[in-house]
Amino acid sequence: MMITDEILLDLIDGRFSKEKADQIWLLIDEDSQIRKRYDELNSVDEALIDQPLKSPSTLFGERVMANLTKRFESKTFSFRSNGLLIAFGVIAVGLISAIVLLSNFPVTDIIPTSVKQITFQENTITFDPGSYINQDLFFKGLIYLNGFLGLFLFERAVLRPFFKHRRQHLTF
Amino acid sequence: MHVEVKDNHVINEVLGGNTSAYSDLVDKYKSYVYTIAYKILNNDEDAEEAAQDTFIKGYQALSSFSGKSKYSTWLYRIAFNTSISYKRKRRIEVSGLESIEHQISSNDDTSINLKKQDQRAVIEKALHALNPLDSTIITLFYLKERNLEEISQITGLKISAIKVKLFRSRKRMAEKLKDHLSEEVANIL
Repeated sequence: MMITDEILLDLIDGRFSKEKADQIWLLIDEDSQIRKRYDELNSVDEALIDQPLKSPSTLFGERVMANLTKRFESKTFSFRSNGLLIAFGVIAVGLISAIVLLSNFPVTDIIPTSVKQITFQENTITFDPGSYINQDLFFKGLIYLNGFLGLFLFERAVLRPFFKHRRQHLTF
Repeated sequence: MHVEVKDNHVINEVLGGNTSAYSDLVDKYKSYVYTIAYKILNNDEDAEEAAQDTFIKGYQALSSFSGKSKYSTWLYRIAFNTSISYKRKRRIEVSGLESIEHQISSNDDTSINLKKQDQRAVIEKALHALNPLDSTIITLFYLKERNLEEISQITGLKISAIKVKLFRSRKRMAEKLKDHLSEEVANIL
């Protein structure tokens, strides 16, 4: 069995069964280099066990007791952390998708595609959608916007939290 | 186990309206909480403030303590998170490894047999030179009697990640100790 630093540290931490530990001890006793390494790692361990605790000021306890009702600032509004942006994006993507899909069905009248006469309080207005909007351009624009929002949401909801989590672990 | 029972008894008293009983918990854990805060913030004033806030937050959230974990684990988690928030707010610069290495190498002791006190001084400096998270994990490891599960609860890191960090840090400190010993021998020869 190869005795690594990891094994020696696990031995120091008492993570092995008695049989396994005895086995490792035999190997340590046979090899002076391993014994030396064990002693080095064990010195670190002994020094760390005896690490002195730091003490706060003498008035620490009194200050805490005097401030038990202290109010902490509530968290500042953050789009990134509270998910509101994500919720907004999801709703927007949903709405846009619905409009695009509905526009492909000729039976729907949500966005009129032909000239219409709308009567309201005895007044008749003629509505010609073609004169107001280029539908082809409009719907292609919506599709691009939809794609952009999808990527944006993916970055905010998946990529950013994933890498932020990793960064916190690595660099504190 | 006895310690936990005693803590729970004090917690019940505080929750029952005896606010002053909370000072028992403050006195008992203040050094531990302060040490954790200091390891992260590396500054007395900020550590004191973060430790105070930890106890105040702990008091205000005491009713949410379910007793599933030890009170100390729960409190240390608050200390850990509060200190990290302070660190982010103040952007405290941690002293670089180079300066610490300089301090270690400028030690004037010429004894071949490194005494335990000297070893501790070297280890203390090497510990100080670690990344604050690694240094905090090392401290928690010994405060929590090598219980990786509890360190995981406090820091929110996976046990495997904690093991890797501990391994690297201890190995690094062993190297520092070894280097220091070699230097001492070289100085004498």
